[in-house]
Amino acid sequence: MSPRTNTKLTLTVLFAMLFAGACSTAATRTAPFRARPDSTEAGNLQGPFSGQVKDSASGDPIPGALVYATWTYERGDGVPQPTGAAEAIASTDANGRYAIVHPKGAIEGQLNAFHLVVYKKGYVAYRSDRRFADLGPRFDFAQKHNAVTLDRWHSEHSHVRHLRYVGGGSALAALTAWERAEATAELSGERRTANGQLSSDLLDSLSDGRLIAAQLLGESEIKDITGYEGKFESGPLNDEADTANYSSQHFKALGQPEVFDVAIRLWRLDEAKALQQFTELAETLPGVTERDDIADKSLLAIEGDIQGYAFLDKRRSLVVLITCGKGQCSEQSQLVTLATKIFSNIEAVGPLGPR
Amino acid sequence: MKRFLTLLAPVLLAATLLSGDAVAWEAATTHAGLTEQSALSSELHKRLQEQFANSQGLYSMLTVPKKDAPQLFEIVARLNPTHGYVPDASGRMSALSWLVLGSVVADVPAAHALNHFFDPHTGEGLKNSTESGFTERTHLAALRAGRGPSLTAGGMSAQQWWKAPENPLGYGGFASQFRKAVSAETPAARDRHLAGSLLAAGAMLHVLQDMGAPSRVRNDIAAHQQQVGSSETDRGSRFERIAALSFGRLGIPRAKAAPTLESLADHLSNAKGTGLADIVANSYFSIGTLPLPFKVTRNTGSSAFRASLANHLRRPAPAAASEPGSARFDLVAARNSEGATWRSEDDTCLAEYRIKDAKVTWSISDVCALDQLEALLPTVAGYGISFLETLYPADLSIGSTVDGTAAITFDAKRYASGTVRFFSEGNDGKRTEFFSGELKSGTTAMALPTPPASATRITALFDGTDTLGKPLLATTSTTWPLP
Repeated sequence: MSPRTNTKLTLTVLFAMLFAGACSTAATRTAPFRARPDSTEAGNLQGPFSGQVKDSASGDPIPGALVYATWTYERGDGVPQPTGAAEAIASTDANGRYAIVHPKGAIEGQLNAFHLVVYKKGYVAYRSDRRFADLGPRFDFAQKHNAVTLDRWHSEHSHVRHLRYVGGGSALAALTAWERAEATAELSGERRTANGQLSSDLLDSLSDGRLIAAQLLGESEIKDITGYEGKFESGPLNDEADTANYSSQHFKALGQPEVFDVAIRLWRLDEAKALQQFTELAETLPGVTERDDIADKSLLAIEGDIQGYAFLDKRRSLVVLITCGKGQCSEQSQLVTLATKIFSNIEAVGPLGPR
Repeated sequence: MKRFLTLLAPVLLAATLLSGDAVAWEAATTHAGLTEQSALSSELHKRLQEQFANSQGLYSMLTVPKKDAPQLFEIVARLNPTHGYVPDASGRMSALSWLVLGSVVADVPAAHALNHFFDPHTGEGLKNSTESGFTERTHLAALRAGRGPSLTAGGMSAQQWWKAPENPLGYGGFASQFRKAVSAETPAARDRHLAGSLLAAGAMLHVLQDMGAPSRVRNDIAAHQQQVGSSETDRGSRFERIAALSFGRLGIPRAKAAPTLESLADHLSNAKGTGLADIVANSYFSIGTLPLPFKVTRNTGSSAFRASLANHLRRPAPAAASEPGSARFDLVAARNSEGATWRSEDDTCLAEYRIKDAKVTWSISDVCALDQLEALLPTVAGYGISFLETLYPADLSIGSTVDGTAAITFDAKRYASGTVRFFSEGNDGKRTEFFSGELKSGTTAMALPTPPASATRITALFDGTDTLGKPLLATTSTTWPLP
């Protein structure tokens, strides 16, 4: 196919999108994507959205991938002026599936666009609007039953290009913060990806960005382990603001008492301070029992109906504390399994290379 | 920074109250993508590292606290974060993202976009030249009533807008932020002002990028009043909408090298005709400035056709060169239903023409527009590279002279006169000015006064004019003692 024929075909599709909207309501533009992969019907920008994320090489589902959805609201004819944006963050479950709904609450203006980004460290990200390989428009995105295949990251890939591709949003920025050092080196002509040593060094990668607690455990992973069937509302804990050294995630069980909640606290420190932080936990938490069965040091703490598990990862200078009420973690082994899962997720997110 | 952002805030805030016709490359996608391409292909990364001592260059994280610019953040909060230019909750994002954000908000409020036109043939901004021929004028008059800025109001030229005091993101704002990005006491304050300078640089870059749209440099209002959506009121530049849909932010092609240009203003237009506005105005038609229709007969040959065309051009260029073969007109194909295409020497579609009922008419189809965009966008991004490197020059340096003393050196061909301020910085990163001197025209070096004993870094700021008499700001920084 000649470039010009290709161009004409592209234009046909694009202008179908450009003039779409005749059938849409005034407050929502027609979606430039299909409702389902096997249909010709246009999707709905409002959603809901669902799909499954798989490894393109193995075909295996990818659990724990971040799914970041945004909606653009604008007002004005011709030159739209932004009136607002909505965002929703989810992660894929054990089967790689995601489900996204538009957050509650009205936003002024016309809903003009929806974007979905899927990110998992070790893979090239996915965008609903553009392909990574050639940055061309993506035409295979579907509102429901969307099939996302992630290509594994290769050392020849460009972090500069990838950061540009991923775009923004606080969660994505935090998860891709480690790439900034790589991109800096790349732009400075000092690319360091030949054997992945520096690329995969979590300590280096965390020098500027933040590994966040939300990255450590997904709702579906909690449910798989505890058997809980209700819903969670997740966000940072109210006790202390996230900083470069500290991050928290609170899974609040909706409509349930506190004993159904799960909370994760993560400290990123230097080696000496990490040990100090862990020691402080050991000295201050109630009912502490030293366990040392996860990472380098670990402990179990119990106070009433709340139990906690903390571990120290010396190599990464991380301290993690997970607390789980007895309504959620009816057995102590469930808490330990959750902590084990967190540790394995840390290893998957940031395996250490030789320093 | 506060003052700068305070000045900017009401203007940005007004954006939400206005609507109007589409008058710009789509800010969220085309401008953002062009800015990214220019910045990533330029030396800006290295210059932020070396001159501003930001080790991560374009990826340095710069924070503008929300309390310093609440109205700005109110606007930013309405932008979709997915394109990468919305700071996090603490007001923090990369230097590259601040630059891109500037290029996104330059059209805010929409009335500012009226100043993003420049006709190099007249030296003027937006005037009503093509509107009289626009068939839907009456409809548009009704459409505009009470709906924000009207294109018929016209605007100042892009050249004037860059330096206009009422433009908060023009050169004045940039220069103020640049100075403070060098001279502020604390690293946090310097980062904040560097973010401010990048924001203004991005907005200035936006104006330059707009010169890549033929309608903006050919004073073509009609081109900006086409229907671009399903609604009759959805009006704008179809050409620019095609750019947004075809390339988005990520698909903007790689930059093409720009010619050597001596000043910021030269990027827009210059006497040699190598400014972006000059090149685009002379090389492309816009939809409202196509040649006028004219009569042809069965016996009209190529030479006669060229001669008639020359008489029916609305503007001197682009013109069909008189030499046979330089631009072939296929009069046989032009009589078919699909018509024929007039191509430039580099095979870019200039216009399509069709002969029907013994009359030739001209058009630019979507396919032709896309062809033009594929040629134009890399050129625009290339000018952006040169523009950014001119804004953040790298030709000052501090080093040792042959006799072992420290000195700052200047290129006498470029640096005329101005003030040179020297700052020292200790291990705490706090910067203090320890000397200020005047640079006289023709001077190539200035001895560096002895800095305080606690100094671990020395930074110099030149604030003056270049040999063309244009304002020039430059900085350089080095560890102390000299390596």
